[in-house]
Amino acid sequence: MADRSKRLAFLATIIATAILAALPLGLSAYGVSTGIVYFANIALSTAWALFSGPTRYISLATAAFVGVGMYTVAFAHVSLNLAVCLALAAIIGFFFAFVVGLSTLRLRGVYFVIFTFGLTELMRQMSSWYEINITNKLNRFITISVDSIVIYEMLLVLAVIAVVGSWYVSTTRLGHALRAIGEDETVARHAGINATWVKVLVFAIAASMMSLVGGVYVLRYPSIDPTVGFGNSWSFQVLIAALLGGPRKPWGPAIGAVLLVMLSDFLVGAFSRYFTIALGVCFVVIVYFIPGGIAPRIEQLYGMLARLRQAGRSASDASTPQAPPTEPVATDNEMGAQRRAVVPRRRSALHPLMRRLTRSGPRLVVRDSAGPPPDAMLSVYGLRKAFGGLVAVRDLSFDIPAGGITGLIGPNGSGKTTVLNLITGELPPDAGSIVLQGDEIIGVRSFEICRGRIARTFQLVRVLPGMTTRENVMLGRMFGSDPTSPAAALREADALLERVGLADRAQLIGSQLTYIDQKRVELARALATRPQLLLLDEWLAGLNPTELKIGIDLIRQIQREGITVLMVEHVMEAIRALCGHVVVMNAGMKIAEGTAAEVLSDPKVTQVYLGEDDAAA
Amino acid sequence: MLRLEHISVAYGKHEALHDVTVDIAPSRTTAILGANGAGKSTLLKTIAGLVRPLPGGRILFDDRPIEREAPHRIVAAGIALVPEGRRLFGEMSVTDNLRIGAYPERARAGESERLERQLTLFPRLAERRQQLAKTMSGGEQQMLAIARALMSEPKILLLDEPSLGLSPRLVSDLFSVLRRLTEGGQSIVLVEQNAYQSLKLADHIYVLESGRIASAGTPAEMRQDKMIQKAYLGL
Repeated sequence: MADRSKRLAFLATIIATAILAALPLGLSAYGVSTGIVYFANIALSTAWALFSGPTRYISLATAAFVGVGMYTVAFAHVSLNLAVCLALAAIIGFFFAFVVGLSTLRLRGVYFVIFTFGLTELMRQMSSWYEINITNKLNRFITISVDSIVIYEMLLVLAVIAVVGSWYVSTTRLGHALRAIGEDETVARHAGINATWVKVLVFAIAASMMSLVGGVYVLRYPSIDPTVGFGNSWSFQVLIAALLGGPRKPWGPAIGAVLLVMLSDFLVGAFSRYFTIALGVCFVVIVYFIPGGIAPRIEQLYGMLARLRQAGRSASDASTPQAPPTEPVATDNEMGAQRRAVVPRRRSALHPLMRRLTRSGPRLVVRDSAGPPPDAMLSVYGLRKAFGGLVAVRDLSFDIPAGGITGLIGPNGSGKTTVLNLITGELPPDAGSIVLQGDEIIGVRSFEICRGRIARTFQLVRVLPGMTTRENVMLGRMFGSDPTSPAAALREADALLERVGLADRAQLIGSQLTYIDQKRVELARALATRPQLLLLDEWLAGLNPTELKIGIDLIRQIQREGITVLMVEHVMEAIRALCGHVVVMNAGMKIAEGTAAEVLSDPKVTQVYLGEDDAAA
Repeated sequence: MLRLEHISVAYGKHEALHDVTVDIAPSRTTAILGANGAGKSTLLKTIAGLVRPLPGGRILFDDRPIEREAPHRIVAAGIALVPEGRRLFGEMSVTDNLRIGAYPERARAGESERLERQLTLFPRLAERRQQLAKTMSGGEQQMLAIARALMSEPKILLLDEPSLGLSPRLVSDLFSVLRRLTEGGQSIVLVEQNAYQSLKLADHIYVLESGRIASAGTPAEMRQDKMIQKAYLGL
């Protein structure tokens, strides 16, 4: 069923493209130039949404990239042939965005918006300055004459590439990574995603498309000046079209662009003098009534129709098993399954140290849980971290024996979570060293630590709220220590969900899960990265006795499979039951270390941590 | 004082609460026990106006229906929720978080005295008045969340898993603070996994199972209940 609808969509795309390509033969000059405007807007809004849709970085730099493309062609066409000019536009757009992205994509929210807006202004001012002071005239003439039908066809091709390309990206690992970054960048990094690289790369790809569109579009003009090349209206028009259509669906921005151009045309005709006012009113109304854009609504409607049809069919034929309603996520994954063979495994951008660590060596030998072996999985030595005047971790040293379960306990505020953040590269330490099986890992970034086979859960759970349970877990598998294609990840994700008791909630969105289920998702996601060392931050908090027992059994089972565990925990029952080795911290320092029985009867520990109640228990 | 009548809540198709009727008396502590996913947090959120009940049920606070009121009006009326996961204003200092708690009109008079009272109740916060909330440890944040709720001078304090993530010693500190509050006449509705401490503190217990009230009674009655012993006390 999903397969059939995919094939239909494919066929429809080809037919529609063919018809659109043949159209100019029968169109007036006006018709052709309308088509040009449509296709340029479709290509630009789709390219914009490729990056800004999933990551939620709202960019107003579209005009800057379009302008770069326009000026590249305007400068180069005098001496180079058109194809070379266009290739140059795409390449310059890519590298320009790459440099811009590297320096600015750490900005979030309104700062990024303002920066991109400023970038366009800067480009316009600079080009004005150059034209006035160096070439002595503001207008730059386009001396090459290209038939508008050729421009039409070129922009049609770009629009189709943009839409099909961004649909394709949404089914790949890259697409999943983008969404994860938009949902929670910290989690994405800890799932093994090189967030900086992914963001900069996709930002540059999108910009390259924008420059290319600009490069083609400029051929319509006899001349350009900086207000045309770097005109802000491009940025806003594209943004509005994408939001109108729905920026998180690959075909949403295209619909938005078509509607926006149609709406503008209509309003210009109907209210020529009050055009902008009428347009403004339309936007307010649209945003108010359909905040998520049109595309998700259409899919909802389609889903409802499909369910109705299905209900009708199953009523007439009771023997047909009821299939679950088609869901976009699942279909994406099925597509992945067919392409599995060609999706390359990406192992680039690995720190040389980590490359050694991630090399798939022999699985860890299953060890007897009775006595932890003497060799250390991870050693912390002389670790120190201060936040301003507050020293959170002070000269801390301890070993995590390989194959065992180590407990890290201590009063609230004693620095336990900070230790986890230091180990996972979330925070840089001020001093000391952290050695993972012989390799120093200080200075190694979070995503590389994850690929180096250290996984973690978070104290205040961080499930990606807009992704399903299953997608959350798939993420770990796709980017962890042994990355796989979405299809392979899908299969393993279900097995892991079964294991943590979430098999029946695979399709629920993260934000719909209860607190405990979210913790389960986090554990499954961490396990999916194939860790050799698992860091649990109060994973057992908030469980009742029955649930606690299940949780304890699960952790023990994980250890028996050869995964070393470090658990920060306040549930003494679990510490006693599981930990062969316990480190106690107070005010950033280690105050006791030993077996659970030893440290829990230590008077120092009783005094600062347990209070009288638990010591007696 | 607060009465829920035939309250049902659904998230999409999933019914989280089914025909729940609960009575909360003034100056008492009511504890709600139940497995994870039984609907305890939903119950508190429904009272606080963060979740809307299905038509047919009523929530009466001092004989006034509040089930359709906006959350801020409910706080103004005198019901404060300390949500699970604390939800502090991370970029604000301890003092500023507390001052925000006194935002409701009714709570503004006497704000400064109340602030001092909270700092006496939670000495750890007094040491850290100017610290940003996000840089504090889990236990301190929990204390701050409770103190912030108390700043609105609530007639009823709703606590969702306050002991979550606290060290054993802080848990007993927390419960002694709660005990002091109840001795001062504060009404509390408490959702807790720590059934042992809850039974010690509460005057009345409700047990929720799959969204329904499965049993109710005094702590003494509950302690005799075999099912309670097994599921919640781990005996």
